[in-house]
Amino acid sequence: MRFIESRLFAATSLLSLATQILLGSPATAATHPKYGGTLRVEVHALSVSLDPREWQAGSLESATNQKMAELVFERLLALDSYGRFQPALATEWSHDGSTKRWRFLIRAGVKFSDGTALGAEDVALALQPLLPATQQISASGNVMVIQSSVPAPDLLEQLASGRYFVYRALPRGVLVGTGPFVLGEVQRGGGLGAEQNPGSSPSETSGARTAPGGGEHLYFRANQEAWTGRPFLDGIDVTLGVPPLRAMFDVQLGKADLIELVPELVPRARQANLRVWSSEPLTLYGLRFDDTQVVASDVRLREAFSLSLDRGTLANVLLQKQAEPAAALLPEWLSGYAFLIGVDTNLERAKELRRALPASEAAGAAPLRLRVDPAGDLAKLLGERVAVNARQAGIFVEVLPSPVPRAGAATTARSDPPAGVHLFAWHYSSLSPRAELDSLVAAYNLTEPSAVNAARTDDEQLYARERRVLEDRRVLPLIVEAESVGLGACVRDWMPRRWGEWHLDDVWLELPEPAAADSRNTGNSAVEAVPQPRPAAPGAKP
Amino acid sequence: MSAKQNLSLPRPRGLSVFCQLMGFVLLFLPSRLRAESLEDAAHELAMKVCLAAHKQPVKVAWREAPQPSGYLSDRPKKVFLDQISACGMEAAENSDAPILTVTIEVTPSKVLLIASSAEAVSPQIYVIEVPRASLFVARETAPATQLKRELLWQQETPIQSALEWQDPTTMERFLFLLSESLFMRFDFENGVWKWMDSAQFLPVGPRLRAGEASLFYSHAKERVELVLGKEVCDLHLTSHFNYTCLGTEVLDRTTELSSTCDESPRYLVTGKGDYTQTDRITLASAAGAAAAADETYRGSLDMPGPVLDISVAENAKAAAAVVKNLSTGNYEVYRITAVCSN
Repeated sequence: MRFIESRLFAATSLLSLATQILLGSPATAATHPKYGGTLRVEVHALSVSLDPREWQAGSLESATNQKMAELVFERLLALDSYGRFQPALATEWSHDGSTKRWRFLIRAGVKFSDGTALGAEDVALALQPLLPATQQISASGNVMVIQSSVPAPDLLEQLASGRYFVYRALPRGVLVGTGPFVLGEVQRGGGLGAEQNPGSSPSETSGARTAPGGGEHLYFRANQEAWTGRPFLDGIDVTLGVPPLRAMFDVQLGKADLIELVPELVPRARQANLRVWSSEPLTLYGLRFDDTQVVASDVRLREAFSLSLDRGTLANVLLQKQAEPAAALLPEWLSGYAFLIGVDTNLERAKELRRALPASEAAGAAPLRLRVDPAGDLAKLLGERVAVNARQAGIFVEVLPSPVPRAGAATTARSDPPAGVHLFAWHYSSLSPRAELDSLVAAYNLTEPSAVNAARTDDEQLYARERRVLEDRRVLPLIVEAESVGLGACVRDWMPRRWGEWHLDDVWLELPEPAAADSRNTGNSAVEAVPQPRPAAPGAKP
Repeated sequence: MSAKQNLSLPRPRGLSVFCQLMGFVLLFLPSRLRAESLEDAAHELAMKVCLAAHKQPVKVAWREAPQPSGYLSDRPKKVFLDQISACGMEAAENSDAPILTVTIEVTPSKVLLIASSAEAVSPQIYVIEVPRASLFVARETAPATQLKRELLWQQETPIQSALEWQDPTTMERFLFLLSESLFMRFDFENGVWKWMDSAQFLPVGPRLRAGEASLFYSHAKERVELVLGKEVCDLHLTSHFNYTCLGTEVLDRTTELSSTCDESPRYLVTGKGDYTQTDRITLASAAGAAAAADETYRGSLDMPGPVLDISVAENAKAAAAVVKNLSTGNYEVYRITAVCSN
C-alpha cells in the first residue's frame, strides 16, 4: 500500500512539474493583476458555520469557520502586517483616558449584500452578543460607543480579529454581510448539480451550514457592490471534507488552487516543489487535569507527570519539526514573553516524586485515564506518546479515544469512565493576548489567581497571570502547531497574515490563454479587465 | 536570605529607604507603559529597572527575536546603558555581575522591550511597549555587482512603485515612492535620501491592490506619469502635489535600460511578482520576453524577494525596482544599473 502511494506521489510530482512548465515559464515579464476565474479551495472540515455567535472559543472548527466568514463579513477595523490598525467598517475611533469608553464612527455608504445600508445600529446588534459581559454597546446615528466596565486598552486588537464580524441577521437565521464575496450556492457532493440553499437568495448567507459528508461545495461569488471594490476573482469554490493526501494530489495535478496541508505532509509537499506557506503557531495542544478522577487532584502527581513529558520529541519527531515545544499557554508571537516561561523534563525527578506518593494515589492500582478530546490521528498519536512518557516515570496511563458524537447527541456516552487528564487542542483566534488568555482560562475553568489584579491589562500583569495559572500544573502546554497551505502554480498575490488570515480578496489567478484554459479549468477564464471605479470614502483618522 | 540580597552591594541606609519609597510610589503611579520610539522605550525601561532593582553593576545581555529582526540597533542600546549607568547600575563585563537580559519581541501590533533577570526563580519582568505603527526603518546599504543593484530605501509598509528622477532645470535628484495611498517625495542631500513631502494620491478607504498603481517616466511627454489601473495620469509636482487622469492606455512605458558596453537595446525582465518566491531581474533582448539562457547567465541579478515593480529613470541609465524582501518582510527599493564588467 505504501509502495503504491509512493509511486502515485512520484507520478503526481512529475505531472505537477509538467503542468507548471505548460502554464508558463517563471521568467516572463511581471504582469498586472487580472480579473476573473474561480479559485478552487479544498479544506478538511466536513462542515462550516458562518454564524460567529455559534463558534466555540478555541475550537479547531472555528479556524475554518473564520476563514470562510472573512469572505462574506468584515470587521470594524483590521490589523495589517506592519502593526497598523486600518479602517474597515469604522473610519475613525477614539477612547477616553481610562480606555473604558470607545467611540467608533461607522463608514457611510456601505451596503449589505441584500442591498440594505449599514448603520451603527446594525453594528451594535451584531457585536453585542459577541462581546464579553463587561462591554456594552450603544449606537446613535453613525456613531457607536463601547462602554467597558474595566479598562480595555486592547479593544482594537480584540475587534480586529476572532469572531468580531459585522452582519445583519435576517428572519429564518439568515445572515448577510458587507464583505468581498457572497455565498451563492451549495452543491452537494458527487457533482449532482447546483442546489440553492433553501430559504436564501444568492445574496444571503445562511447563518449555519452543516454538511453531513465530504465532497460538498460552497460557492462564494464576487460581491459587485462591495465598498472596497470588486475582488479580482469571480468566485471561490470551496470543497469540504477533502482528505489531506487527496488534497495534495489535487493541487499537484492542477485540480485545486489552495489546500490545507497537515503537518506530516508539509515536508513531502516541499519535496515535490509545491508552494507551501505556513503561519505562526496557531494551535496549542496541551493537557488539563480534571478532578473527576480523584488521582488527578494530587499536585505531586501532576508535577511528576509534567516532568516526564518530552516535548522536544513530540515536536521534532512525531510532528517532524512542524511544531514547537510549548511551555506557555500563549505563543511567543502573540504574547512576546513566552520565552521567559521555561519547562523542565527530568525523568529521574519525576520517578522520585512518583515513588514518594502512596500507591493508592499515584495511578498505581487504577490507571490515570487520559481522554483525547480532539478527533484525528495527530491528537491520538500525541496522547499515546504522552502516555509512554508518563509510564517511564512510573505513572500508568490509559488512553481513551476521542468522544464520538452519537446521532442526536453531541456529548459522550454516559457509560464512559471519567478521565483524570484531557488532551485538548486550542486554536488561537484573538490578536489580544489578554482576551485569548481570558477565553482559555474560562473555557477550561482554570484557577484565576487572586493575588493578581485581573483588571490591569499590561504585559507585566499578563505574564504574572499566566505564570500563576500554570503554577499548580492543572494545565500543561505540550506543543504549538502552525497552519500550512499548499498553493497552485497560478495563484498570485497570496498575501496572508502571519496569524492565519488568508485575504483571498487580494488573490488573482494567472491562467493560460482561453484556448489552453479549456482543457484545464473550464469556466475559469481570467481576462484582463479595467478595475472598476472605487467609491470615494471619508478619510480615516484613527 | 534570598539570592537577591546576596547580590546586593552594601549601601547607605538612607539610599535603601529612598529606593524602597520610590519602588512603592512606582507601584501606585499610573506607569507609562507605552513609548513612541525604541529610544523612548529603552529610556523608560531603564527607568523602571533603576527604580525597582538594587543599585549594583549588571551584565547586560541583548536578545532579539529572529523574526522580524533589525529593530534592536545601537541607538536604543546606548540609551538604555546610559540611563542605567546614570542611576548607579554600571554595565559591567565582569562575569560575576548578575545578568540583566533585555529582549526585543515583535507581536502583531507592538514591539516589546523586556528586561528580565536570570537569577530569580520566577523572574520579575519589566516591559515597555511601542506601537509597531510608530516605527519606521530606513537606511542605505552597500551596492552589489554585475547587473548592479544598490539599495536606496527600505520600509515596513508596502511600496507599490518607485522612480528616480532628476529635475532638468535644477539638476536635483528625487526619489518618488507610492506607498499605499501616499505619494512620497525625497531629495538627495549629503549622501542620503531626505524626506521632503507626502501627499495622498488616493482617498483612504478604497483598497489599492498590488500592481494597480505605478510610476514611470514618459519620454514622449518628458514628464513623470502615474498609472492607476490602466489609466495614465499626469503628475503635477508643484508644491501641492496633484494629478490629472487622462483615461488613456499606457503606451510608452518601457523597461529599456541603456548600458555603456551594449549597443543593442536591453530590457529588464523579471518573474511574476508573487509574494512567496524570490525573483531574478534579467536583461533580455526584447521587452516582456523571457531571457535566453546566455542572457540569463550574463546579466541576471538575484533579488531578495519578489519584484513588484520596475520603473526606468528618465536617462534610461538606471531603474528603480521595488522588492518585498522575504527575509525581513520589508519593502525595498533598489537602483538597478547595467555596468560593463570584464
